[in-house]
Amino acid sequence: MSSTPQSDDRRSRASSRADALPLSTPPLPVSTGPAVVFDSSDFVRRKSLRTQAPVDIRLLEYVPKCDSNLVCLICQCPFDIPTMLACDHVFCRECLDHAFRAQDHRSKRCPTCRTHVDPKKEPIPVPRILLSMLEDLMVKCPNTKAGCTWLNKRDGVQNHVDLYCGFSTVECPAGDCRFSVLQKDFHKGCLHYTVSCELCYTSIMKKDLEEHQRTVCAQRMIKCPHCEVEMLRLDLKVHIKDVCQFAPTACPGAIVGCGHTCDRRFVPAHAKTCSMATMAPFFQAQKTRLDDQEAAQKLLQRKVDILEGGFTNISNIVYPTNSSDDSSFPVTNPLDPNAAEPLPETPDFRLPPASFPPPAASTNNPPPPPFDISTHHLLSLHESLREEVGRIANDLASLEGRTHLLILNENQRAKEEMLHTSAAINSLRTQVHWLLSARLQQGRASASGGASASAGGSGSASVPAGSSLGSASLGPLRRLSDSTRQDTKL
Amino acid sequence: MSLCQNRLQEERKQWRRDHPFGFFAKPVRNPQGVLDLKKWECGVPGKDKTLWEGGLFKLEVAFPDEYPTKPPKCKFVPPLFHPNVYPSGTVCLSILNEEEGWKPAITIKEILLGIQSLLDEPNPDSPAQADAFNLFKKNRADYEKKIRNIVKENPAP
Repeated sequence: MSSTPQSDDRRSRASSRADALPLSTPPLPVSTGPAVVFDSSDFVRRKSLRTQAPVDIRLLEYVPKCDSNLVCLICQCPFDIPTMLACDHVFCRECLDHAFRAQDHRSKRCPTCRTHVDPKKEPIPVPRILLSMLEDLMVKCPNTKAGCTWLNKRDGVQNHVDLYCGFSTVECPAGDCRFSVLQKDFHKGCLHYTVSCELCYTSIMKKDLEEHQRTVCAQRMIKCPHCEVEMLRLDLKVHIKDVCQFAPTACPGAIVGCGHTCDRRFVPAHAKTCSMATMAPFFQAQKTRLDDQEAAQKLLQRKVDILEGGFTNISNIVYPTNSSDDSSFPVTNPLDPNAAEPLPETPDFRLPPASFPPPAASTNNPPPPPFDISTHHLLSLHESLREEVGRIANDLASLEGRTHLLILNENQRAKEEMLHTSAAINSLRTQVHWLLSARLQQGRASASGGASASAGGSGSASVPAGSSLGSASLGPLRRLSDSTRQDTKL
Repeated sequence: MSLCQNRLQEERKQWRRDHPFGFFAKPVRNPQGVLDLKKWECGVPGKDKTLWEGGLFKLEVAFPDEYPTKPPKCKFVPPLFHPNVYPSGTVCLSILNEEEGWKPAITIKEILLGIQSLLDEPNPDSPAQADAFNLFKKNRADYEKKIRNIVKENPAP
């Protein structure tokens, strides 16, 4: 059942208005069938319909009173998610956050000793023993006031409230009802309709009827017909059955056969003289033991039925149903040790040969049913298969390891080769640069020498010729700045 | 429920379980008749064998939303003649000062016991009321006479 925020809000508002329902509300449909025991689906549904907020650890009642060393100095309650600072002071996480939020205008300090707190290093995890001590604190159920008597360790309280507490509120099982009910009343169906009290004829909600008859109803008191003691009408049956000293009571030996009946106050005196009353406890013990044995037997019977079903399934797999014309195969169930007909002598070729030969048949000793042989064979086959699978698994693991190592070695080798190659390339690059720069230097030197020689000559045309020659032989000349930059790089 | 409300509920529980003789402390009811846990009405008796013996002095304790990180504000109603009580009635006490001695661990019981001790042992280093302080410093006899009159005006039941 999906729950949207709006529906949750509506639900909480509805539950808060639950008591304000006018008594004239038309009765909602009610299941008149027998009370249903909670089943697992019910359980899940009830959990999903829980209307209470998560349990607030601080509001729990501790029994006995909690040790003061386990109490947070900020909230004065036992720690909830304890958090420790470098100064060894421990607080609840929420309390510490609250304290730090209030200090936001200056550096964070411990609320107790005012030591500076380093937010990067703190908080420190608390010792495990402290957490264990807190989990082991005994608490009452938050619904104690409603009537729950649960008392247990603190770490189980949320689980108890969510799943097991009969006094937790859940949504009403009726789909169209907007009220909540106690978890213990969930199986009763919707109780939010008006009924009339059969004692005082007051109109009242069904869910409040018992409470009304216990506390409010004018006709709630009645006198015991035997002892004239006034009591609640609802408690009369229990009073007569177990308490009233003047109520006629059978002798304890009634289960054995004593037919004596007298007032409860005289029963002990009669029991002293009645031999059947003396024997009754032993018979009662025997009866209890018999009941226990029967219960155990039923359980074993169920287990046997399950096992038989399993064997039948196996036999159906091993011996499929025979066709009518196939007379060479046994018709009876070979795995059934109680089969009425003996097995035909024709061998069954569908099973592999048994692990061990069957004992020799004799006239006195009929051959044992094939149940043992075939089962043993199947078991041995299963065992050998398991061993085989184990071996294969081991081989696979070792193979995987070897492959992994091979890949690692190959990778290493490839990396080394790449490094060698890159080193060689780098050395070649430097040599090429060096050669080029040397060549350029030579070219420049020869060019400058040729220019000075031609300047001494008479023909002005020799200069361009010389320059063109130089340029033709050396290729395009670089600027001086370029060549020097190259040198500096090298 | 907020941390402040939670703590105050716990304080109330502890106070009702055990509190020093002669003191009282209870949350006040607002006009709608609902208990306001952030405002308490308290009473501090004068310490035995002191000038203040036999008196019961009422004060209002107002708890901020940041309580217990921030301290409550204690105010005598009506204002009390004392060197460490402001003319408005507010108590000047180190444990009620966030910058000085306040710690979240301090309970209502400790606050009221601290105020009781302050009555007979004023702190001359933090005067809050000029008249009372001057009288306490310059004319102890008149100061004591004045205190006796105040005790008569505020008798313990």
